[in-house]
Amino acid sequence: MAQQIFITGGTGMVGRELVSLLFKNTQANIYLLVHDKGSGGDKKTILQSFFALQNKKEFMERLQIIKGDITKQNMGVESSSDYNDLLGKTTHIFHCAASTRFDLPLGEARQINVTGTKNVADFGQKCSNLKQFGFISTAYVSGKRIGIIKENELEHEAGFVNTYEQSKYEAEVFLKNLAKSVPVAIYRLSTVIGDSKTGKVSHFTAPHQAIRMMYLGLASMFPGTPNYSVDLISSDYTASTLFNLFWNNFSPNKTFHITHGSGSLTLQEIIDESFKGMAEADSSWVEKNYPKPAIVSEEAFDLFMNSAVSANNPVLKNVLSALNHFAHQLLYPKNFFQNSLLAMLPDYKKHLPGIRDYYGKVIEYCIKSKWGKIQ
Amino acid sequence: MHDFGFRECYVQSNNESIEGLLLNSAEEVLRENKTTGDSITRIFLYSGINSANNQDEGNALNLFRYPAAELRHKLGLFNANAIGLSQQGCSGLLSAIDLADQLLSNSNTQQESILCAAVDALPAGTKREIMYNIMSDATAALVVTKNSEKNRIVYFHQEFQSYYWDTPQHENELLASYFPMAQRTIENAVKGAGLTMSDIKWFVPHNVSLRSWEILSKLLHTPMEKIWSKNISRVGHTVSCDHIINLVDMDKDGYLKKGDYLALFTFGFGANWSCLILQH
Ligand SMILES: NC(=O)c1ccc[n+]([C@@H]2O[C@H](COP(=O)([O-])OP(=O)(O)OC[C@H]3O[C@@H](n4cnc5c(N)ncnc54)[C@H](OP(=O)(O)O)[C@@H]3O)[C@@H](O)[C@H]2O)c1
Repeated sequence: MAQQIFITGGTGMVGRELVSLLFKNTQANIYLLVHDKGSGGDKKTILQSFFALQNKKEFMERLQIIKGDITKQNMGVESSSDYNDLLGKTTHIFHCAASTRFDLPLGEARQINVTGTKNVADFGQKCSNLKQFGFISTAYVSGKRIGIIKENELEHEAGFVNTYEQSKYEAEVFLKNLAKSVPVAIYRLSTVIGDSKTGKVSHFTAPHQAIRMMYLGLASMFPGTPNYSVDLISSDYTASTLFNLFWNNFSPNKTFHITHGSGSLTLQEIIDESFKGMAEADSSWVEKNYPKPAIVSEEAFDLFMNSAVSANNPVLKNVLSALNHFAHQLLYPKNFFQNSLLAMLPDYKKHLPGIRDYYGKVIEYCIKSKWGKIQ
Repeated sequence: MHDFGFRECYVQSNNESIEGLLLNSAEEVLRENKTTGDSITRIFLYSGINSANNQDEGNALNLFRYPAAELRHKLGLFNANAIGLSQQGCSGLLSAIDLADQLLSNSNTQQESILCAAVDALPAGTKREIMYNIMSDATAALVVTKNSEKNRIVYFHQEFQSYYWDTPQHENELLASYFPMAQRTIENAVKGAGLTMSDIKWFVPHNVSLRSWEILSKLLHTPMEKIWSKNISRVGHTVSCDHIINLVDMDKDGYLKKGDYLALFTFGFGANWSCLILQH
């Protein structure tokens, strides 16, 4: 029997690259849960615009689109016969859907990332032929912990920098407790910055906004220390690693750190390389001669933040609150261990695209696409 | 504005003239320094406010009533070349001091001094709250001499960012760049003076909000106790006179000891960040 993969979040930044690999490198049928409120379209459009695949007959036949919403019961799949049909067929589930916003109120973040995960897991539990359940999480479920973070560690009381970290943590705790009834593997990513070959970014997240603030001369300061290691990974290598772990080397009840690790850029280098990349991509920007943002203590950053709030300057307040939701992570240096990952994929580091080789391309893409305004 | 450390500000009254205040400041400094009028070879009168003090009022000649010349005349400084300087915002007086110092160090005459003065008065009716500051009207004066015994000029450093010249267009960029530029300027000034941050006994501040100094003190890893901020609430901010007013008050109240290194820092529209290192 052909494999039947059910995927949530397949149109997202990570999901789209993974789905594309599943189409190209497997014969599996793909059941794509497309957010009923989100970007979608018919099969042909989805194949082309999200997966860069021509509407070949084979792909058209292997793809099924299901409209839904993971926050709802039965993942919002309207027709109960469609839902029951999926329960019988599905052999693999890859749950990528999430809200990656750092500034949502906790209730809203939980709704998508915890309740949503519960609903997908509930579906998984009921699938009669389920062999594998993959879940994408974040390395920052470790929140405010510092130092070595092992893949097999989860529970802690260090607290979190934002509601995203907390809600993904809670989702992981939930799945861990389900391990006996669902074969779950958890893939924790650090921060996906763009494509290592082209610099292309399909979803601009908080770090891209921080780059934008520097480009606009509005980034005054970042909290942290200059030598904090900023762990960034490319979307293409992340997807191929996910594919390898999920499709070729599935191991249930295991967690994997898909991170960059040694050779990452430090916070000071990120600032320096961003300025270098901007100067190379836009010569007119150089004349503005913006100062590089200062790297400051948490106290100084908070004081600055409070002044912007009490001064009621709307632009700076917005800039700072965007930074505020993730920049505090820069105060909690971490070293993500990758023992499980390297045991499974010993050549991971050998093939890992070095951030220093493609960071400039990402900056160029951000500028040329005006942070996603121009495709 | 209490949150930013402001309490009071000084607004010239109708029966006071700013020219009169300026004259008083200059007379006082000449008297205290025991400077003879003959030794003053130049007068630099700075004003950072970009409005003509001289109103046309139907007679074009009114445009040529120059306060620098008036000062020369009323003080009887007949050896002095008097000129007005402008357009450096709050940094102008520090730049005038630097200019005077450069000229004096290139001159062969020993007994030569330069009178630097500043007049900062907002036109009547102007809002006193400008970019999170409370503005006072003020005048200040000082004499720059060769080999001064007191407040020796050690080093001056300025970072100019003329991309920001159009202030209303660049308000947010300016606010964002203020702290990194301030940190850079002060660090470069201290380094240029051959000193370290811990050698600085006092930071003589501009009176632009206490909060800004609280943040800057953290960036400079310097305790707030080293920033003489007493006048922020009492005087408020005056475009370019803050440092001289603060220095005089610090001296009067016994905060300064001979040999103390002082860092006078300010930001000026235009835009520039300036830091003058003095040894008391
Ligand atoms: N990007 C990173 O740097 C990063 C880092 C660590 C971990 N991760 C994890 O990787 C996974 C994928 O992230 P991503 O960057 O690809 O995110 P993304 O670009 O924001 O994509 C999220 C996907 O989830 C879908 N979705 C959101 N809410 C949904 C709902 N209520 N019902 C159904 N679908 C919904 C979105 O569809 P619409 O767009 O149509 O709403 C989209 O396809 C997430 O689990 C995330 O936590 C990402």
